[in-house]
Amino acid sequence: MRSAEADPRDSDLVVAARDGQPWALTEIWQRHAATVAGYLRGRGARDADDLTSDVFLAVFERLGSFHGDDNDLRAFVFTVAHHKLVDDLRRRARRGEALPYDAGSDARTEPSAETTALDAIGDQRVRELLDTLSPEQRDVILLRVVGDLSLEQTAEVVGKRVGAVKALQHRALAALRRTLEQAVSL
Amino acid sequence: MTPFDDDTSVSGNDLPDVIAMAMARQTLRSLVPDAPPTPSAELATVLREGMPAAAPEGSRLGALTRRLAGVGVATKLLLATGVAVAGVGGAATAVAISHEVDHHGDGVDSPRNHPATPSPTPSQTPSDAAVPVAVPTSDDKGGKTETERHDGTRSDDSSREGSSGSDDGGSRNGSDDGDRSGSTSSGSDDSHDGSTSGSSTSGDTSHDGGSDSGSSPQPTSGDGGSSDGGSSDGGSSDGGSSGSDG
Repeated sequence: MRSAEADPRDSDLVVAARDGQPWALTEIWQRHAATVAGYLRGRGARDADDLTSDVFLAVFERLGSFHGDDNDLRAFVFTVAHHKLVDDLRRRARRGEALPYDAGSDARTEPSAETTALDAIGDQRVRELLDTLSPEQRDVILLRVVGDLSLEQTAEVVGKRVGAVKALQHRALAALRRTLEQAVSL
Repeated sequence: MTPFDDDTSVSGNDLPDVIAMAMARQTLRSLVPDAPPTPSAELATVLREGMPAAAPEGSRLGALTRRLAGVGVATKLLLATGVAVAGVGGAATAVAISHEVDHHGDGVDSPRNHPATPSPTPSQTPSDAAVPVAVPTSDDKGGKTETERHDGTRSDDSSREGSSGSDDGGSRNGSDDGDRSGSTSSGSDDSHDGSTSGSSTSGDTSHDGGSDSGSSPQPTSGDGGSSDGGSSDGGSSDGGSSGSDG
C-alpha cells in the first residue's frame, strides 16, 4: 500500500515545502492527510479531522528542521501526528470530559442514512477489533497498516527499539487473528 | 491446543503474521477516508497562500520571545521580580535626587550645592539693602572696631585685625563655609531668597557657624572663628569679644 509512486516532483517537493510554497504544502496534504486522519481515528481521537489540520500546521512549521526525502517525510508527519495524539489524549484525560456526538449540531453535510448505518457498522467493528489491543499494540498496528511505515520508521515514531516494535506487532496480529476467527466462526 | 497458544512467542513462524496482517489491512482500511478531510480555516489559508515568512534567526525580538516562551514559570517569576526590584531602585534614586534638589532650594547650604561658586572678590558688593553690610567704625573704648549692620546689630571686631573679619562677620556661616560665605556676593544671593539674609536668620545661622568654626581645623579658623563669632549674635563659642558683650 506504499503510495510513494515515482513522482517527478518528489525531489523538489520537500525543498519547495521548506520554502513555504503553496503547491508543495498542498501536495503534502493531499498525499498524507487521509492516512493521518485514519490513524488518529483508529487511535480514538475525538475530532480527528481538526486534529489532522493541527498536525499538518505543525508539520509545515517544522519543515525547516526536516532533512530527507518524501519517504522520510511520511515518518516525519506521523511522528508529529503521534505527538499531537498523545497530547490530545492527555488533555482529555486531565479534563475528564467525554462529550457524546450530537448529530443535530453537526454543521457538516450529512451523508445518506444508509451510508451512515454502514459506516457505523464498519467503524464499530473496527473499534471493537482495536479495543482488543493494548494502546501500544494499537499504535504499532495502525502505523504499520494504515500509515504504511516500516518497522524502523514505526520504532522511530513511537520511540522504541525495532525489536520491541516487532514483538508488539506480533502479539497484536495474534490477538487480531484470534478475534477475527472468532467472529467468522460465529 | 489451539493455533494461538504460541502467541506470546515472537520467534515463531511469520506466515500467520503475514496472513493476519493482510486481514488487518483489509479491516482497518475503512478507517482511512477516500479523500483528505476538510482542512481547518487556518490550514486552508496556509495551503492557499503558503507559509508566512518566518522571523530571521538573528532577530533579537524573535529570539527573545522564543527564549522567554521556553523557560519555566519559576524563571519567569524570577525575571519579573528582578525587573520589579530594578524599578523600585530606580524610583528611589529619582526620589533621592529630587529631594536633594529640594533641599538645595530650601536654603540648606552645602559645599556640594555650590560646586562652581566664584571666589570672593572685594569688588562684589551687595546691592540689596537687606544684606548685612559690615561698616567698620571706631570705638572710643580702647579703639575697638565694631561692625555696624544695617539690621541694627553690632559686632565687635576687637579680637581680629583688619576688615576681613568684618567681611566674614557679615556672613551667616561658620568656618566651614568661611571662604565662600566671606564673599558678600553669597550674602547677596541669599538675600534674594529671603530665607537666610537679614537679622531674623542671622542669629541662627551664625550660631551654627560659631560652633562649626570652633571645631574647624581650617588654617584660618582662629581669625575666622573669632570674626564669625564677633559678627554673629550667637557666636558665643568663639568668644569673648562678640558683639553681644559690647
